Amino acid sequence: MKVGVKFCGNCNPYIDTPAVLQELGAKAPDLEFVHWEQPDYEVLLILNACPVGCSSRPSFLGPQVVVAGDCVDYWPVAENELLPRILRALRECEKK
Amino acid sequence: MRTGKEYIDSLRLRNIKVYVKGQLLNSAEVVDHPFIRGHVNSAALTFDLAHDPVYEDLMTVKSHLTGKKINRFTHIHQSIDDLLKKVKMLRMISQKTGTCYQRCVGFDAMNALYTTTFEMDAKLGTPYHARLKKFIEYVQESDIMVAGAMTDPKGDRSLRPGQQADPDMFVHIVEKNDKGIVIRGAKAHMTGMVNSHEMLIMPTMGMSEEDKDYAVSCAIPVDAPGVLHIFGRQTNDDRKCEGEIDQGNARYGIVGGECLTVLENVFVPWERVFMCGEVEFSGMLVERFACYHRQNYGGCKGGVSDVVIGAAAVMADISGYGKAAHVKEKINEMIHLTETLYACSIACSAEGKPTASGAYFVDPLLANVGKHNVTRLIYDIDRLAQDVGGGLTATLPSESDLNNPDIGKYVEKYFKGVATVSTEDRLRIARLIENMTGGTALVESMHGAGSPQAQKVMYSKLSNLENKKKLALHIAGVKPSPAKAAEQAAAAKGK
Repeated sequence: MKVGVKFCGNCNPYIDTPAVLQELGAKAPDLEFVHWEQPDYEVLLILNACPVGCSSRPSFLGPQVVVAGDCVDYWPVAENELLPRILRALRECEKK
Repeated sequence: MRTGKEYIDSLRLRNIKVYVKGQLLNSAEVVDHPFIRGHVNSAALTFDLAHDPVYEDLMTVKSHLTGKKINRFTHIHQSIDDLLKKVKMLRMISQKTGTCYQRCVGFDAMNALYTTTFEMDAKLGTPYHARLKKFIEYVQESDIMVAGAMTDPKGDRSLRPGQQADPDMFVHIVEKNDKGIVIRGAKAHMTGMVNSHEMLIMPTMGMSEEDKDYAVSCAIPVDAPGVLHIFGRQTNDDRKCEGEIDQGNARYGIVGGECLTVLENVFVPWERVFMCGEVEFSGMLVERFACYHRQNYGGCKGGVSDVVIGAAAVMADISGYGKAAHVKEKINEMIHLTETLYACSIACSAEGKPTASGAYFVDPLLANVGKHNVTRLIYDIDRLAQDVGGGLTATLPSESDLNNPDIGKYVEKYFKGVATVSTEDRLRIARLIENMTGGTALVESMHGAGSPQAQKVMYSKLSNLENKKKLALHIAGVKPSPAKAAEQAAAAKGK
């Protein structure tokens, strides 16, 4: 599955979003992460480095997963659960 | 939506027990007592303004539950715009009342409970969110006033609730049966309680497993059997039993009209219970409420400070020193401080975000910083107002002296400022400054929505200090040890 990725700009990083993305790639080699401006991805992943989650949303009609600091899709997540929760959310989008 | 008159009339129908200076008031006449009347007038304005087209964009909103137009004080925030409009609404009302109108506490309690019960139900399978939505629909439909009830008396602050010599120092569950629960204890500093219809009980702090009976949230009518209220004294409150001028703000009073609410084995049916022993969510509820409430202070205190600034500037004008450079500088300083307060409330709203329930929550760090500023800057603003206002704000004779046929002429003569303004008008402004900048009004800025330490404890949790250290180390060219670098990388990845 192709996943479009958008970063927030990292003015106040609570989490290291580039490292998160790298780790996702390592854990799920079947997922292809591309820049959000590229065409034809199926899921949009927005990686906000802090809980404010201010990254603007590109006009994308498909499913999206929003990470904002310690929240995934607005649900608070324990620190050690962050990666599995993002992956689970992406997999759920894949099924849709 | 109710009008102010309908609100006041509805308060007369309650069977509420309110004590003032040792006397139990007739429940139908509580709203007329001189100590309480101003606070009722102030709250009534939140109802009347909702009917005024000039203010309706701030005062009203479409309910996400019913689709109907409702008073914003009964709304659950659905967007950043809702959060921003809340702050603007508060500033606008404060500019009209010059004091607290009390209705934000229940507003904040409903929003905190809405977001918390949604997440609690999802994790624990509890039935609270649907119950709460029904209660909120009732509040919106009937447009009642809800008091938020969080602060417990707390007894010995070094002990947890269950360790207290007297278990009633924190509100707790004393009985559960098939119909509901029975609670006991008290809530302190209850703003607007004696002129509300219902109260929303919340725990005063995050509870641990041994304090399970203290993790309770529910809605109770303010006149439920077993509930009584003991009204608090304020600085200069006996002036309310005399004339008008010495009160400073005779129509709306000072601060919110606080009381001690005693709960003597009060029964609460299950449909009004929103937390019952779920300790792991008590901290979330307290934090959400505190942040929503701290969001307010740059709005409401911003509006109150607008009035204080105006009063100081008018006093300077009518005393003949309005053009003095040092006075202009002091007024500008007051404006700077006031807008600093407002900026924090706007910022924490603009940086708000949706929660899992869909309702929006403020940025907690900025909300706490804003309230913390209020504990300091209001003192600075009021100090400058007293500086500009002059010593007569503390030494004036009474209104009775002004009206005395023998000595009134001396008061009139020797407290005159510029020739074109009456002495009575100058006295009114002086008394407004006196009452808005001292005693009860200042203490409320310090402790309302939590004392300064309550804000400071949030900083270490919310400010991302580790990142600040990393920034400094990087810029200074300090290379972390391999072990430290591995530890930091793991933490950054959320492992």
